[in-house]
Amino acid sequence: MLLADGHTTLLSESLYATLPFWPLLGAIVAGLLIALRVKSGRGHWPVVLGVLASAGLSVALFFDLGTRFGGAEAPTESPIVAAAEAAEHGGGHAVEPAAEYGAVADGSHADGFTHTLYNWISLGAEESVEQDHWLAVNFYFDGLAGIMLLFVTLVSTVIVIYAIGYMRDHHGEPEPGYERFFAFLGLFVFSMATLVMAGNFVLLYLGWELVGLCSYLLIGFYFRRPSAAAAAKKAFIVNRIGDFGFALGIFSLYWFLRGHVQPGENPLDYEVVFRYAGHLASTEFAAGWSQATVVSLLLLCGALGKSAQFPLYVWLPDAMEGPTPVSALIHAATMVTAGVYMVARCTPIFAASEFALNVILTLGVIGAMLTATMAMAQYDMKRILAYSTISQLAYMFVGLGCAVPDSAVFHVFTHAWFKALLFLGAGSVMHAMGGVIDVRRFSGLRHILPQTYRTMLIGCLALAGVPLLAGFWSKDEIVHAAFERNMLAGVLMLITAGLTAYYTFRMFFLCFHGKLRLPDEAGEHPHESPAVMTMPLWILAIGAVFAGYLGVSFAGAPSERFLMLFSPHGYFHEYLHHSTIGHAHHGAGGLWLMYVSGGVALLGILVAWLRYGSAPEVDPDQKLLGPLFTLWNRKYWVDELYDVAIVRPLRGCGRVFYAMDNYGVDGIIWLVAGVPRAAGYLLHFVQRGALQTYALGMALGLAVLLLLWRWLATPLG
Amino acid sequence: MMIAYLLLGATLFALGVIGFITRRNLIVMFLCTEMMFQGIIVTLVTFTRFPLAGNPATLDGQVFALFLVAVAAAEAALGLALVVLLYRYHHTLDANSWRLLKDE
Repeated sequence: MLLADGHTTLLSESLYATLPFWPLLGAIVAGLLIALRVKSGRGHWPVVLGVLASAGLSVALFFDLGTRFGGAEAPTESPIVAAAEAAEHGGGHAVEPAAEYGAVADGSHADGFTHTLYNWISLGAEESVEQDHWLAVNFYFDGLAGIMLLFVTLVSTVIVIYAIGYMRDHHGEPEPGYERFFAFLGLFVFSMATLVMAGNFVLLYLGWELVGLCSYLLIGFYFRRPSAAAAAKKAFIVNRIGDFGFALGIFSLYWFLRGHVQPGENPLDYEVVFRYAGHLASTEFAAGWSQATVVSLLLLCGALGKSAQFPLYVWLPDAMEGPTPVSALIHAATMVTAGVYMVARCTPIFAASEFALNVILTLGVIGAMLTATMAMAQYDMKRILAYSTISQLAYMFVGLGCAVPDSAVFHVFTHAWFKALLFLGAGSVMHAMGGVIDVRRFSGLRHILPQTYRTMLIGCLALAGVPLLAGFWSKDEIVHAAFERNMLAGVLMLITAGLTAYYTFRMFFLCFHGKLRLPDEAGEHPHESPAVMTMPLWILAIGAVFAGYLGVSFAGAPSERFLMLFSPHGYFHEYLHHSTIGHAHHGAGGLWLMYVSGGVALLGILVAWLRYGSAPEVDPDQKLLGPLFTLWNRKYWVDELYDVAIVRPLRGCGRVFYAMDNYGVDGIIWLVAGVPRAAGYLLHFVQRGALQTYALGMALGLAVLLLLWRWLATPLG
Repeated sequence: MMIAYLLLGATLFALGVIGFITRRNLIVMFLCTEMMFQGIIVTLVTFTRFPLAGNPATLDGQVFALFLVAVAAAEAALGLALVVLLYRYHHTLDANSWRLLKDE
């Protein structure tokens, strides 16, 4: 609707709108294969093709949107933010809503646009217009959606292809549930694409819940294993805690904005919400809390759950019970980024609340430190990666809290590549080791897994934040922003970066270096994974190296550039300006910080090399750190704390309610039924089938009734 | 006068009930039900002959009495047939031979 006449560069909007449905189609076909009991071992094809189709579409969309943004005059400021600020400075109610509308509509630089598929839910008729108010299924296309779709679908495609090789045993026979696995993967990609493309909060919530569901299904894929079933439940329930807040946030948005919208506008469409976001900032909800703060904090609850942030991060490490491609897909590359995406999407709301930003920053710093130290003392390769994922997501939250959502999204983007790579590499190791993933039980794998070794090295370097690789550019921006906002946060982020480099390479050296040592489960001749698994590793490795260059430029005087070549903020950031994020205010920047953070990463790797380079069988850190190591190894006993503080009381409550239902309520019902039953049992001795006894009973009964009637009637008569 | 008629009817009915409960022979029991019928018929006819205070004199009771006599005749035919059938089963007319109406 905001497509200006002269800028119709998007040739086939409706074609792009089909993007999420191809994987869904694939999933349905795969599901039909299960229903028809066609178990040919080729059940992956429909899903692979479906995901591939949406990946193709999202690449086309990415470039199409880029052309469109490049063609339009670069706006000085995002129109939505401008409108929000105008409303804020104008004192909210002083600004006529019609004027706001005009300000956006007549500026041809409105970047995002909504494509409506069909009306979905009727919100009832409005008296003044006498037409139904509809909540539509609509998609919102802007820079943020373009970028998210790009990496979500591309990384998903690579992972789905990898899964073809992974979900088979050593003889190439598919595992049980092979088709089911791919059907779930297709469903997941559909859900994530819906989440990202949604043009209103209700559809966003739908996608949000769908990815939660897929996560549950995939974590619990080996549902016969009790630990996997428990992990799936945990993920679902912890997410639900966050989603409760998220739903309340959406309700409150509707409640707050209902009065401001014009007839015909839906108060939950992104366009409408962000247009009137200024009202949220300027209206006080309760003592000192603006409406924007309330909405932000509630929405943040959802983000904390979905993105596994402190204090709701506990589900993610357990989620490693799922097959490794799932860990890579859901718990590293895409699903957990939904929280970051949502907060970035709602930048106009969050930016209006300084308090909410500080909360995000604080939680981010705590989460990053906490989980990085936990990762220091783990032995399970996938768990180390899981904690590093939480830590990296916490970095993104720090970026969001420092009001630089574009940097946060940049880190989401680069992180997706190398974290997917690391997980798939770990999967390759696991595949070769016969399911063993404990780094204490093998070492020196570089001799037998050369491809995995090289790609994992690239992934680890990128995660550690070594200069020139993807992770460096994005992480550095966030560290930078943290320094700008709060010195302490910045320092803590730098320390965490050092820890990240250290624990990443601790894992790497323990796994691949030293002398060759294999567990019994690996069999006689462990071998490199097939090409269908190593090729995806290499594709992701390319991403892990080069994805960061989308976000740097070569402009400016050489003396002001990193290594005389690179200056921060490139095409990626330009691209994101054309979204609800708008222009974030980045500090002037200190070049020294880039060198420092690069140095910290290298230092971390060096220390790891000195201590773990030969993959010692006895962990040197355990001796050195002593009780601290135990504390970290046991994850600060947070799980146990939650168990004692929340899970057990709740379970106790549940038992009490169960007992009340089982014995209290059911008891009353049993009593009500039991009394007549007992009476009947007692009287059944009388009923012996003798006709004359019955007649006697009848006669006596009649006599008694008559006498009774006589006795009662006497006083009256 | 009315009381005497009513007492006659009641006595016939009570005798019928007592006979039905105490006698064991099916045919006698059957005759006892007939006696109860007669008691009722006498009562009905009495109320026709001596309507209660405030009620108009009608022939309802008489009609009922005739109706009951007709029903009793039909029922007697049916009842005796049943008795014959029952006798064929157990070769006895003792009412205690049949104890089918009970909770097993």
